[in-house]
Amino acid sequence: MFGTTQPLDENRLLAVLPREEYEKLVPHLEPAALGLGQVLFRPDEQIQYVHFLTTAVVSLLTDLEDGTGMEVGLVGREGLVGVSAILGGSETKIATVQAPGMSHRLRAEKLQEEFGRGGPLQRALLRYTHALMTQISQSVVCNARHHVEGRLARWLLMFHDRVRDDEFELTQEFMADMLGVRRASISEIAGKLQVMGLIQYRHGHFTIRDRKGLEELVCECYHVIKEKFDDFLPEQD
Amino acid sequence: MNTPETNNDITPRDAGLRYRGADTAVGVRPAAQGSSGMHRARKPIKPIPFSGLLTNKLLTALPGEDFARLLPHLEPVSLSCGEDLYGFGEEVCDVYFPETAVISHLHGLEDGSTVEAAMVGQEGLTGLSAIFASPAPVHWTQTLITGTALRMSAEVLRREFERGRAVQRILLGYASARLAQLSQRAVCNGRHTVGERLCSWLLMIHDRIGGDELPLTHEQIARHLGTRRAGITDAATTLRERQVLNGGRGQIRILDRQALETSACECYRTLSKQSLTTLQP
Repeated sequence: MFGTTQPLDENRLLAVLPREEYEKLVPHLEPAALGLGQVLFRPDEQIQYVHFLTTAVVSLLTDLEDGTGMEVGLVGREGLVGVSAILGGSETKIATVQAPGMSHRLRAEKLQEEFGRGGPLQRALLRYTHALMTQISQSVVCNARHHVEGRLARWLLMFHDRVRDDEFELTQEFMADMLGVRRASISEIAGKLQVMGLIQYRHGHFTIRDRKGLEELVCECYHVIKEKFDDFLPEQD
Repeated sequence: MNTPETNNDITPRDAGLRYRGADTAVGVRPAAQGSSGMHRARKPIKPIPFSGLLTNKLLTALPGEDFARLLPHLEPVSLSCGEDLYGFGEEVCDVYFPETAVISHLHGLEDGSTVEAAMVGQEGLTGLSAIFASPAPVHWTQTLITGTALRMSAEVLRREFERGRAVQRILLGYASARLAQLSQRAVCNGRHTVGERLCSWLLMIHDRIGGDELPLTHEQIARHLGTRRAGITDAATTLRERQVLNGGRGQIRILDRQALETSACECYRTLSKQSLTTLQP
């Protein structure tokens, strides 16, 4: 009503809060510019800030002892990076910025304090936590069953939904983690999607050419996740 | 809500013993068994007398006064292997705190195959979506190992959760452990061999039931690990030849737990380390 809330509305978790709740948080939110590859936290680290993402996209990775890892979840403007700040257990994942952009960061203690009051913010955060669990469960299933091409299509669509741009960069290292394959095989896998006319791929630079086609090729996991997130917070557009 | 809070110094274990007494006094309603339709919203699951020994780690972690408030709402039930607690997309009316039972969250895929995403035993509970007031889960919840659990109305537990305090802290801690389990299993399924995954999975069950006999068929294991049965049979044969386990139809006996740990992927170690730290206040 006062017309000054536009930037915050870009994060759907903040946008869903009732006005009073949201205004209580606003003075504590600081805009943060997140750079490509920036690590927001690592396992067992005390989380200082949580990030309500707006234009940045962050991936959650689990590392193995040999240094190889795998992406288990992706967070964009629909969510929050740092749910373990409210859950209280130790963090087991690495949060890495995969698309540079902006977030609204909030001190973890402030979030804990607000969460502790209960009410709409607590409910929204719990629902988001559950949605994130669903996304990660689907990765458990997907990694056990689905072909690498379908999985690549899934991550590209999830990424595309969050960056809202047909062109983006993904490093080879990230792609290897995303798919759980060696870096050397990435060009070959991306090449298959390129031959089908779905994407254009060159040295880490992706252009989405046929989103419909990708949606047909993608494994069912994408649609499950999409539905779960849409259930969680209906699109406000 | 109006439960008296007089038993401030009651411990969960004491309370368990008291509960056994209370059971015979109140009587376990046989009406809840079978298809009387008395509790239409609830699954007709077999109620049993309480053994008096409380093993669920979430419940034993509760301070006495919090446990005393939950106690009148906890109903001991017996769960049989293969029994669905909630179907796919079904609203969660009750939560279950497993005691000796082990419960799986199974995802079904379009090709008819299934994969277990999470396993819940005495370290946890199933029904978090209701506590978090979230849409129904996209998996179905099925008993993997026959045993006992304590059932409770999800609505009652959600109200307790909203009061904050220990119930909230413990359930949030468990949600964190669940997220950790899911994340580890996602990477495990992407990176590790069927043989390694089988060992980790058997160890996870072994920890939850505290016995060496695991009533599991190869078919069942394949449905949980999301692999072909032949792959499980090959891996189990290798383990049998190395005398890590033996067993015939529908039964696996762990002979050498140490060797099973050595053959498992790091995921088992990572997960058991995490579950040790989660419940510490």
